[in-house]
This record gives sequence, structure tokens and C-alpha cells, in this order.
Amino acid sequence: MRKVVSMLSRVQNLTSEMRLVAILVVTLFCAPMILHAAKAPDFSLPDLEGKQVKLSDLLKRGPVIIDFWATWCKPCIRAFPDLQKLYEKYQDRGLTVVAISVDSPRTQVRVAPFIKSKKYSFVVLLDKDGRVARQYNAVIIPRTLLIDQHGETVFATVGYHPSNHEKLEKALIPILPSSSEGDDEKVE
Amino acid sequence: MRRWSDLPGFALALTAILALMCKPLLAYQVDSRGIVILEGFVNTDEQAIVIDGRLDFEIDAGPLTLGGAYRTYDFGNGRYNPAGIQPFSGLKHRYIELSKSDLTLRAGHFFATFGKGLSLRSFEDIELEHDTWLDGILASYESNTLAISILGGKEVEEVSRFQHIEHKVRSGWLEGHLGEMVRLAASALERTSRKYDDRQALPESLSTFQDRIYGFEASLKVGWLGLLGDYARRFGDLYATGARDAQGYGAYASATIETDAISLLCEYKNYKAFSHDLSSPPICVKEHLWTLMNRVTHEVNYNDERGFLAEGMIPLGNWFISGGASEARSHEGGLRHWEMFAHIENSETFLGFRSLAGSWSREYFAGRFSEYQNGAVEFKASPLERTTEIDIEAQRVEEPDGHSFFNYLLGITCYLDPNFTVSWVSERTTDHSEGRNVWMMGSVRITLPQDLEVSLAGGTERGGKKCSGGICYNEPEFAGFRIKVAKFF
Repeated sequence: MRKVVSMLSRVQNLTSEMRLVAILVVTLFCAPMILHAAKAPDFSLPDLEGKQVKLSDLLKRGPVIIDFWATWCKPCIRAFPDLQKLYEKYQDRGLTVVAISVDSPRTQVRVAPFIKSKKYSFVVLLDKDGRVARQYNAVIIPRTLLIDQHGETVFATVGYHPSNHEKLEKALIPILPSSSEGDDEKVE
Repeated sequence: MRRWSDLPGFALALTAILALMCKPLLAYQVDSRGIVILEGFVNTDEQAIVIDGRLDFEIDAGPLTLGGAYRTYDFGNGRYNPAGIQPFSGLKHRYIELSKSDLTLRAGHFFATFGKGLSLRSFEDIELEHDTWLDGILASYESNTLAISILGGKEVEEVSRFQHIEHKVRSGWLEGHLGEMVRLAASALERTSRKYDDRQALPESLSTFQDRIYGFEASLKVGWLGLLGDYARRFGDLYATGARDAQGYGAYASATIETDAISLLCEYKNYKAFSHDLSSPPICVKEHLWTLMNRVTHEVNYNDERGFLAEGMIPLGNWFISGGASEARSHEGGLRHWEMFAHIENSETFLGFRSLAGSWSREYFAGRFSEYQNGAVEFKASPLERTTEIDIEAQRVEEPDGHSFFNYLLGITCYLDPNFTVSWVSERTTDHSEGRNVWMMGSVRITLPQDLEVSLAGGTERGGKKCSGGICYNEPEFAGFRIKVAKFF
């Protein structure tokens, strides 16, 4: 405690640090006011079979949950069983769950065996150079977003929490298309 | 010399030109997105305050994207420098990109990865302070059957406080798909690297290095079988060791088998005189998800190493079992590393038990070795509808001189509320060579509306090696308080 008090007493010497804090606080609160939220950027990425999957095609069927993850990310892997349950529960009503792996070329080879052995059936895409992750600000993972059929982000979260899937489900139910609409437009 | 009175006219002309150029873009909706991360560290041991802030942004207007990253980092008295970089304040990245259908043109900072990263992998990992983005021009075309990239740019590698190396790169990549099963690719890359020293002028003959890399990659996917081979040959100087005209190569191969009953992964590596700041080949070593195991991850010597990794994964209802082994040798046959590991996990938890993992490894250096035996167990319980996770890890370390000691880690995370998480991590060691032998850190994470995250931590945290995605760095020991605020928009 004495060390803390001694250090805080030098606060008058920390002008450069305080200046930086001021700049950042202003940025933190002003940037979101100036820059308005964007529509979810469209992307096309290869799945585990090498086929290109486009977000705009998936949105024709219904809302899409996008989850950025990696094989070396423990909290990401912890969230998968809940995402699988959500997918199984609402896939018939148009929901698509897309897990985008940000594994680098160094670890990408582990993605397919991991997904197959865990028997996850949601869509898995490979973003090997992190291009799409940057577009979605997924610099911290897991990063999970719920996109409605109009391409608007209606829910977003970062990090793992056991109740994340409950929040996702709460946000998802109002934007699900009716069963008949969901069946009309199937993704090819 | 330009007079100040000329400036308003110049600014007016520039604005008019920009307005005319941007007029066609007014037909498009302007979208923007970004993230602000602000971190503050108060290190009581070192009497130091560190401020680290970053703003990443992108603004879209039709086919045009304007983006960048602003960073400010200051470590005060210099005794505690968690990022390991010099104080910095300014634009770290800035770029403009034009995307039209399958074509992308980008000027400014860019990243690029060719195949498995043997010939080129320019990327940024914010958490690990790794940034090899190039500054130049990138043109790429990508369709379902063909991908072409051509790029030219430079990257600055900080070697020390006074020295840096400037890498100039010209490169191309061509990739074609033959049906749905076969993919072939080729790359060519030319680099010129020059070392600079702020204290003295280095002679050009000693400070300039040039090399060329030609690579080829092929992959095949047939049902449950996946095969991949990547080979690159390097000609010219090896700046990492100073060797002139040192030819080298990098070879990587992998085989995967994915069935309902079992998944198998085998990887092979062979690297000789192949290290470079802009290359990032696969490591063929298991990167464990547990702290103590991860801390002893083998680091690859890209100038002289060959080896393999084999891993099997078996699902049994709610249970999941995996295990494997890796080995690495020098080209003379000397052992550098071996490891065996196993993991059993229950996806739902069984009487509170979630997973158990163990590993046994040796790292060799100059004919002697360090040995590590690791164990980790995880529990999960939900008393009063509040989930609590407990991680317990233990590690026995035997050093080359025969001296041995134990490390222990206990981690507890309580999810008290959907927006409030409390964590506690404590570590203990029986090694007396460090200043401390007990570390304890408590933290809270608060999720606020509007995609705002705040985390506060206080206590002591042990330093050590941390590896993620094939990159390792040494985290310094920490004692004090830290705050992190992240706002997405």
C-alpha cells in the first residue's frame, strides 16, 4: 500500500501519461458517436470441404450467428456445445450458425479433425489470414454476433460466459422467420 | 519555401479536387466500424505506470474502404515494459482498398499469407505484439477456381533499441483448383533486407542481404482423407545468421483422416537455413490450452530442424479422448525435443468433472535436457444457478543439472451474473531461484450495454513463456493493478 501511495504522489510528473489517457477517453466516447454502426460486411470464405460460403447467401434463409474461434482458444471451445444446441434447436426455423476459425496456416490443419471428432454439425469456415475477423473487430476471441436477415447486427458479445447462449436465444427468437418462410428459401 | 499565406488556397484546391473525386461515392451509404481498447497498468514492484491504447477503424463507401489503426503506448520509467516495444504514439496502419467483385486493390499497409506461410506470412497478432504488415501495394483476384496475388512493399523489423532491418519484398502467388478435390499453388518471392544502426553507419556490403524463395503446394481431399504437401527452396543470403549464399529449404506435409469413430492428424516438417521475419511455417508441436503446459512449448529452429506430430481424437458419447506425440531432431540426428500427451474430457461434466490432461516432454540443448511432467484437471459446478469453474495444474521440472522442482496453479472462475465474472488465479513454485514463490491475482470482468467491456485485476502474476497460434513471447512478471476497457462500434 505504501508503494501505491508513493507512486500516486508522483502523479504530477505523469503529464504525458495523463495526456494519453485524455486522448483515449475522448476517442473512446467520441468515436462511436461519430462513426455509426455498419451493416454486417458480406464475405466469402472456404468451408472445411474447400467450397466458398457467402454470408449474403446464408442470410436469405434466416438469421446467422457468427462465432470467431481458434483451436488454441480455450474459452472459444467451451462455448461450442451451447452453440451446437442452439443450432439444433432453431435450424429448422432458418437459423445458421457459422463458426469462423481464425487459426493461422500453422494450426489450421487441426480444425477439421477437431470439428469432426466433436461431431459439431454447424458451418465451419476458415479465415486463415484473419481478413474477415478484422472486418468484424474480432481482435479478441471468442467474438459472437447475431445478424438478422437484413444484415443488421442485433447482438454482439466478446469472451466466454455460460449464459451467452441464453442472451443469444433471447435476441434470436424475435427475428426468426416463420417456419413456412424459412422453408421457402433454402440455401443451395 | 512555401509561404503560410499560400496554405488556405492550397487547402481549398485540395478540398475541391477531393470533393470531385469523392462525388461518385456519395451515391453509396457510408458505413463504419471499429474497436477502441484502452489498457492501464500500475506495477507496484517497478513503481511504473504503463498506458496502452489502440483504435482500429474501417470506413466503407461502396467499393472503397479506408482503414487504419492508431496506437499510443508509453511505459514511463522503462522498468516495466509489457509490450516489449519502444514508446509509440501515432498511426500504426493506414490503407485504402478497392474491392470490386473478385478483384481487390490495396495501397498502404496490408497483410498476406501464401499457402502454409513457408514463403510469406505477413500478419499482426495484437495480443502477442507481433506485427509484420507490409507497406506497399497488393493486387489480388480470387474466384472459385483461381487465385492470383501480386504484391510489393516493405516491412521494418525492430532488432534492438538502436537497430532495425528494412525488408523490401516483391512477390506473387498463383493457386488453381482442379475439380473439388485437388488444389495446386506456386509462389515466388524476392527480398532485399538492409540493417540500420542509429549509432553508426553500417557498410552496405555487411548490412545488405538478398534472397529468393520459390515454393510449390499441392493438396488433395477425398472423402475422409486429406493430404497436403508444401515445399519451398530458398536461394541467397540468410540474414538471421549472417551467412552469405546459404541455400535452404522448407518442407511441410500433413495427412488427416476424419471418420465418425476417430480423427487422426499427422504432420511432418523439415526446415534448413529457412528462418526469416516474413516466413511463418507450421511448427508441428502441440500447443496446450493449459497455462503450465503451454509455458514449456517447444520453439522450432527453422535453420536446422525436422520432426513430426501425430495426434488421434476419439469421441465416445459425451466423452472425448485424444492423445499423441511429437519429436524434433537436428539434421545431424541430435534429438531436440520429444513429447507425449493425452486428454480426456466430458462435454456435459460428470459429477463435476470436466477434463483431465497430462503431458511428458524433454527439451534438449547441447547434449543435455530439461524434463517436464504435467497434469491438469478441470471441474465445473453450478451451485445456486451460478456456474463455477476450477482448474488445477501441477508441473514437475527437472533441469539439466539434475535440480528439480514443482509448479502449481489453481484457477477459479465464478460467473456470478450474466454480465459479471469474478476470477482468481494463484501459482506456487518450489523453485527458489525466483524472487517470489507465490503469485495471486484476482480479477472482475463487467459487460456493459452498447458492446462495452471492462475488466479490472489486482495482485501478482507470474511471468513466463506464452505461446498462441505458433508464436511465443515472454510475458514479464507483474505486481499491481490493471484495467482494460474495450468498446466495439
